[in-house]
Amino acid sequence: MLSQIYDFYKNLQGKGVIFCSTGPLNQEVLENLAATLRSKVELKEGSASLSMKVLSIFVEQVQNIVHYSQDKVVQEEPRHVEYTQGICMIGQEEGHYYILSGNLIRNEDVSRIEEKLTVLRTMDQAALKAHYLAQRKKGPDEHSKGAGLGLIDMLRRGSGMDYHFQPVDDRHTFFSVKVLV
Amino acid sequence: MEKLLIEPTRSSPRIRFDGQAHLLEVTGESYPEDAAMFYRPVFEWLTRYLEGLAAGVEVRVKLDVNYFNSSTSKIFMDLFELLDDHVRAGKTIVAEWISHEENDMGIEFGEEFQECVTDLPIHVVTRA
Repeated sequence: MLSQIYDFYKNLQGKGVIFCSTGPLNQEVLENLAATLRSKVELKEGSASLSMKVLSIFVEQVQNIVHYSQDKVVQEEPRHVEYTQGICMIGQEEGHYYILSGNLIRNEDVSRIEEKLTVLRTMDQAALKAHYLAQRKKGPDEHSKGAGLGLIDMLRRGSGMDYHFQPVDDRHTFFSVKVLV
Repeated sequence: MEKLLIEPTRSSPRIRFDGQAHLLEVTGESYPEDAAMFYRPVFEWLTRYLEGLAAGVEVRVKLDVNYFNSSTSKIFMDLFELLDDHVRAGKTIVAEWISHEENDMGIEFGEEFQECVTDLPIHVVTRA
């Protein structure tokens, strides 16, 4: 491990990563990350509007991990705390910021998520707005733990989105999503 | 009616609903883990307050929320729709959506809320 850490560091640096976090996540950890991130992005950027975009996409992604990741851990001492695990990172490439996250999902959820993303990616900003407003009025579907707006919201704020499904085993797939700003 | 006061946390706003002064304020940031649960007491208070509200009294609602997540956006829409219903039923309510002048997204959200209501006036205000 120790002998590989330099390569790991160089690798992340080569990809323009300015922030990367993995391991146990919950709302409390998110609040800490958001505070750290705010100073990091605000230091680099003068623009409140851009740092707000980066922050808001990051929060949506981490809350998706907290709500939906199938990789869960429970700590009992000194108090009972539930965490979910995943990875989230922020980097810069070709003059853009990217916000990327990944977490385990159940295999049976892959097709539903993929269908949703395929449709969303065909929409231009006007269509995304209309869809967002309609979905907000309608309310969440049965699978959602929030308002069902997170993915649409990220696409509206970003300038592009990519995603990937990596099969892990007969029960799980690693789902990753990357949004450019 | 008792005031509703909820202190802010890092991910939830300060709520100051004063039923005597008829001033309802939401200030801070909003990305709680469960937005529906956080805002439930707010809606309960508001529903009772609006039902008991005398005609002719002007209610001012001020939302100054610098950052909020997508689940909160749904909650704010529900809030504006509830107020919109009461304006249609004859109540006098004026809402103010306050954003930092550099927060383009915040201003845009305010304008979209305006588009989604019919009778409630929502003034989009910027501050330095």
